[in-house]
Amino acid sequence: MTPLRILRAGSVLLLCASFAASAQNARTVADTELKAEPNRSAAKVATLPAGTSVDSGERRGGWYAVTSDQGKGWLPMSSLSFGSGEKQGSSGLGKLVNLANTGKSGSTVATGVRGHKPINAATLQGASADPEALARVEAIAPPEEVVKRFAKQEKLRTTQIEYPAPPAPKSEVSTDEVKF
Amino acid sequence: MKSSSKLLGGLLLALATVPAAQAFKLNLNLNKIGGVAKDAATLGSEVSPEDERQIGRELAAVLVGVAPPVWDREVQDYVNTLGRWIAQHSERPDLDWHFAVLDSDDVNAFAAPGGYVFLTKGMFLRLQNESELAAVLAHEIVHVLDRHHLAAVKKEAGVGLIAGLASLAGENNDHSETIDKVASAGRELYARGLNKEDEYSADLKGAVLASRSGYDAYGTLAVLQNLQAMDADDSSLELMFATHPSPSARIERVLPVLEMSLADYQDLKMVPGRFQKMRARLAR
Repeated sequence: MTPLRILRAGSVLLLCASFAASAQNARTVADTELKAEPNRSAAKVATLPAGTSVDSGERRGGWYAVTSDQGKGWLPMSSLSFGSGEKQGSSGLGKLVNLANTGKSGSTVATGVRGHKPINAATLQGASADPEALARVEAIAPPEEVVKRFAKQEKLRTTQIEYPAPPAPKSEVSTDEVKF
Repeated sequence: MKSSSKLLGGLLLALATVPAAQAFKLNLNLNKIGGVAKDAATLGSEVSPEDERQIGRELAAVLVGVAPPVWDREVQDYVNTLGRWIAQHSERPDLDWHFAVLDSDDVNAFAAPGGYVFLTKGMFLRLQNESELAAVLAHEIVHVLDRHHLAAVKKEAGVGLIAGLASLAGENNDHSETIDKVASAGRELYARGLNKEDEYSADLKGAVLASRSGYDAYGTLAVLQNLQAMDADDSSLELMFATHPSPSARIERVLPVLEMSLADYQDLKMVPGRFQKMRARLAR
């Protein structure tokens, strides 16, 4: 096994371990009550000021179990922000441009790792259609009774919910058509 | 040779991967192109269901050409069964839906017209439970329902595409050019992405579809926060971040609607058990 493979295998293991535990660092986006249970009427454990760092664990509905310096409890998902914010949006286009400039050579290293198969502008451009692989996809079509059994197994119940109206787009003018 | 048999022969040659019956349907429906559109507001709606399917097959074949489906029948059966359960709660339950996990470590998901939905192994491995997988599939299902890619391909290939499709049914049998044009438009589209409003709409309507199917409404938010937590410079996110609004922007758009309209559905199912069994198979 090459050092690269070992490194890769190691990182996959790490990835699995971190998601099994699913602990993620997050910050509160506003002053928020830490609750003893995952519901709004539960007892207050503490009030966490905006910007408090917490480690999130299990999710239950719209709530995360968290650990903070002020104790353990539950926070609404909506009160938390994960990660560093805005850099993703601004870097996306630049990356695409870079890719277009570097062309296929930009993905040489990545495609050299077996099983990685990046899907990006360069690999899309260089790809041939694969009707045989598509035929394998199309060969799988679980019949109605299998789908019903699948839902029944976990007591999944159909609920009637209408699509909500989308919020009005913000003041920034968009030329794109709004669907709905 | 009579023109009808010549036409059918040409179609069969052109669409070697399409069963004859389907190719014949394509012929019949091509005659309707240019007719009255049911919904003039939607670019994609002017295309017949058969042509939508055919365009989707060309696009889907390119995607699996980049990263083939994972060789694990149990996992593929699982995503197809889940996907079909969700699609049954949509406005187009009768499409011939097909789902697949693609063998790529990238974190991403794709749809193609006519009922094709793919997610990468990398995306699957980031998820925690079936409600989050349902959210990802439902987002892609909405792109199919609302013909987002179809409209974009039509816009890209424009009048040329319609003329090319029509030429399949005419005397001029230069169909390979049309098929190349569709595939080329698809490559461009998947590299460039849909417009942002299509993505926001797919988040919102996808959250509803997942809840209609019995899954907790916050799966969509959990997936977006999961993406938000990732390092934006992670190469596995390259195309996702190049083609979608930032996770923060998506959360900002979906959250108010979630809180206002779907908060009552947060106690629906998350289904971690059988999902994690599948994830363990993929992680091997």
